[in-house]
Amino acid sequence: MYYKKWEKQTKLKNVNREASIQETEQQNSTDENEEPTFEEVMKLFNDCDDLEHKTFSELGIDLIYFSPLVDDKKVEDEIINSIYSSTTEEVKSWVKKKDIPEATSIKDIKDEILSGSVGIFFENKTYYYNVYGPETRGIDKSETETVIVGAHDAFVEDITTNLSLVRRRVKSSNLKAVKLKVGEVTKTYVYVLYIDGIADSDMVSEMKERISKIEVDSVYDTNMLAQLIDEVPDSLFPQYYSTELPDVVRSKLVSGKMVVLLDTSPIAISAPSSFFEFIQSPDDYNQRWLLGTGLRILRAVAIFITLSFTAMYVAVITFHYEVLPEDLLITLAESRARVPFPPLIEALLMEVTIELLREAGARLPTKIGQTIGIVGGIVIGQAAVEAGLTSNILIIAVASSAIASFVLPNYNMSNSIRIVRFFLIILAGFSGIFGIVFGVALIAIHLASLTSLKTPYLIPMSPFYWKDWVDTFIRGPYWAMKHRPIQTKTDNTEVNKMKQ
Amino acid sequence: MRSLMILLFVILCSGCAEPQTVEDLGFIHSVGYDLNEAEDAVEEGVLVMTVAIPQITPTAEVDREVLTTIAHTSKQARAKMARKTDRILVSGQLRTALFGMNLAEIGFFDTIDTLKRDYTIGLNLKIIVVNGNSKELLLEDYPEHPRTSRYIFELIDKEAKSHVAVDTSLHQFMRDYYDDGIDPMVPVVKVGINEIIVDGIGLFDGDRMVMKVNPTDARTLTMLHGDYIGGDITKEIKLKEEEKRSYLYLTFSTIESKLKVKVKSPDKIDIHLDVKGSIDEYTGHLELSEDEVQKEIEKKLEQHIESVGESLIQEMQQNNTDSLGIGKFVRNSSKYKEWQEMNWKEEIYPLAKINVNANVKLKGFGGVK
Repeated sequence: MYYKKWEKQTKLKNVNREASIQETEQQNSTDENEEPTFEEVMKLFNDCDDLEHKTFSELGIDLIYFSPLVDDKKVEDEIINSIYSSTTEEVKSWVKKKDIPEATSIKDIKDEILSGSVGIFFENKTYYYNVYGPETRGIDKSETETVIVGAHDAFVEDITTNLSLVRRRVKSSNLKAVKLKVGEVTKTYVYVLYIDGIADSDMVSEMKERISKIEVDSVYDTNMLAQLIDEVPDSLFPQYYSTELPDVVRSKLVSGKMVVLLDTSPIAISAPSSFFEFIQSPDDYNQRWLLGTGLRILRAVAIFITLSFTAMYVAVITFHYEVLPEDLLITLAESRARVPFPPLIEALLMEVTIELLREAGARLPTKIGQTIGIVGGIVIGQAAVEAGLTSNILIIAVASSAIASFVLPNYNMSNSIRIVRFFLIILAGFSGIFGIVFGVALIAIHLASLTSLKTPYLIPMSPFYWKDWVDTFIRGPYWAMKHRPIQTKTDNTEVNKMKQ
Repeated sequence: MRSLMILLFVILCSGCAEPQTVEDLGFIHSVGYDLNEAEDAVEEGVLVMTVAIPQITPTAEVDREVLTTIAHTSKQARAKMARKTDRILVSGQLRTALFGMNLAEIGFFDTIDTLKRDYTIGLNLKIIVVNGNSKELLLEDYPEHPRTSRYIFELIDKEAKSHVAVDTSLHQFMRDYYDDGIDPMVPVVKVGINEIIVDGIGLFDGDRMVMKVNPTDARTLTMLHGDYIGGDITKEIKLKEEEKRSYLYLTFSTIESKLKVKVKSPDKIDIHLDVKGSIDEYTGHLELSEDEVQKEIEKKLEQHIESVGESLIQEMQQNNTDSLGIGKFVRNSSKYKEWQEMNWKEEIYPLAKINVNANVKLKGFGGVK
């Protein structure tokens, strides 16, 4: 529904936009048709002081390139060494032998230089030679998604490295990587990866269309891209699964989903996604299936604890003293007797404190971060109870729900659930367990109404599809996982079979 | 947006729900009812009601708050007691209801009825009769057992497991009270020196307690009531070959007992008991491993169970209480119309011939002295 609204808006805009594009295109047409000359290209890059310019005056050759974008060694070995101390004829034959492409327009050469080519101006002709190779970070362990057993390498900011991480894992000509550009100003590369023959072609074209329709100056990260192409932008829940691990990407590709990689972002998103993917970790697949299932159930329980523990405390203390065992009730009443606030205020106070601690821990450097743990643990935990600001049972409830929220493998989902918890606490403070039930029902309704690339978010629970239950709360044994998820709408449902 | 409106609606609608914050509540844990017999009582009324509330103020010196008052009805008593405490009296944590002997003897159904009607009271509420005065029991301090109400609760819970007492919940009491062919039975406690003692089982005719079974005979009674596991019988026993010695005792612990009731005709009933158990303790000198000795012990125990059982049943017939539920067996074996016309309990039961047949089987002789 939301996506349609959004689509309509963009369509309206597109009408205006097309007109303006035509105008700029007319302006650009001079760029496009004109034979590039060295002077004009230099004018284009006026004031770009990081542009390197080398002249070989006796040969009449000018080389220009952005030194931050190219591999200096390659420039030295492959171009300068070939030109240096050669005659004009030799250079000509070198160009011919190497089949160095010629740029036909100014726009052409401009784009090429910006993507890491060396522009070679020689005898009134312009050639370009790609030597892209900027400095990149080495492949490292993931910081947000840790795996205990299994591959540890994670994506980095460089798209070439990321693509190589995926290609290495899927050695198939059917792995397609469609290159698109987003960002009106930044022109960032986006790759849509899918396995031809497994992924649904309609979905792939839908995804491509949505990405090409994005109209922003710049896309900073894949998570931002995900927000620009999802159907319900106002929802609290992430509608595309995001990951840092190439291993996860491989499993998503094989199950018939698409993966989107963005240059300069170490995050990949996969689509379509269902809610149950967010409680899955690669570790589950590396364990015996019963252990994997146990872990998933534990995570499901963790969601429940995060959502409702503090809310339950507030509800019980405020309205439903009957449900507690007598021993617990007396301890509770004893510690509550000193607290001057109503339970709702007390709980919100503690929850906000915990969130502050968490946020402070995330922002601080690791070395100082440990101090936060001590300050939070001792000062807030113990002193707050001793000072009579909170009851000690609440500390347990708040702490255990905070811990449970960190159990979720996906950081985005864990954040969403933590925010939802506050609504439930407030509802519990106003109308007790009735409020909690109502809140949980609202969440369930909302989740059921969400869609991910026009497929239901809660599949296979709603709509119910029992064959897919082997990979939801249950990590079924491999002999039982015979079908690709229905959510992918793939024709190639049977696993181990590649239609070719 | 629409869901936000609904959210707002819920909060506004239920905003008037009355919060009951735990620290403001005095959750009654035990309630005691007695008959007001003193003629010169300060207040008017027939019911003496006493409640025990666990203390939650950390600095308070006593572990519980006990309130007592005299009133016409239990709800009036509650209103009177509320005037004496700073906490809101609620009964959602009520676990034990104690009835004084004087009240139990004249019947207390109207009081039970108000407990049943209160939706905050759970059906697991224990019904207990105090041999004496429940007000005194609750007011008394038991230095070794803090929190009297909890003490009684745990005591009955535990003793019911070894069948010295029964654990009668409000639900069971109501069911047996309304059911045709069975009467309720409840545990009886009394006040000792610094302690509360389980004092057997009280048997009812309707809502009146008419008979009390001693703790020593309690296990035999429960054998006749149903199939229960565990519980001891201790008996003075003299075996044939034993030399004359004054101190010969045997403790027999039942592993299981099975009850079979055969209704020949409404006034002729055979009860058959299959009891399996082991000897826990024996003060004689014979070898328990010998078959002869075992057979003799089995026989002696059978005689004991039969004689105790029959005398209990006779006493029950005289007092017109059918807590064993023999009437249910009669009802089940006769047609509905017959049963309706029978007036079994008033006419036939007191004169019925009820036989007890026991069959004891020794399964072992664990701790032998």
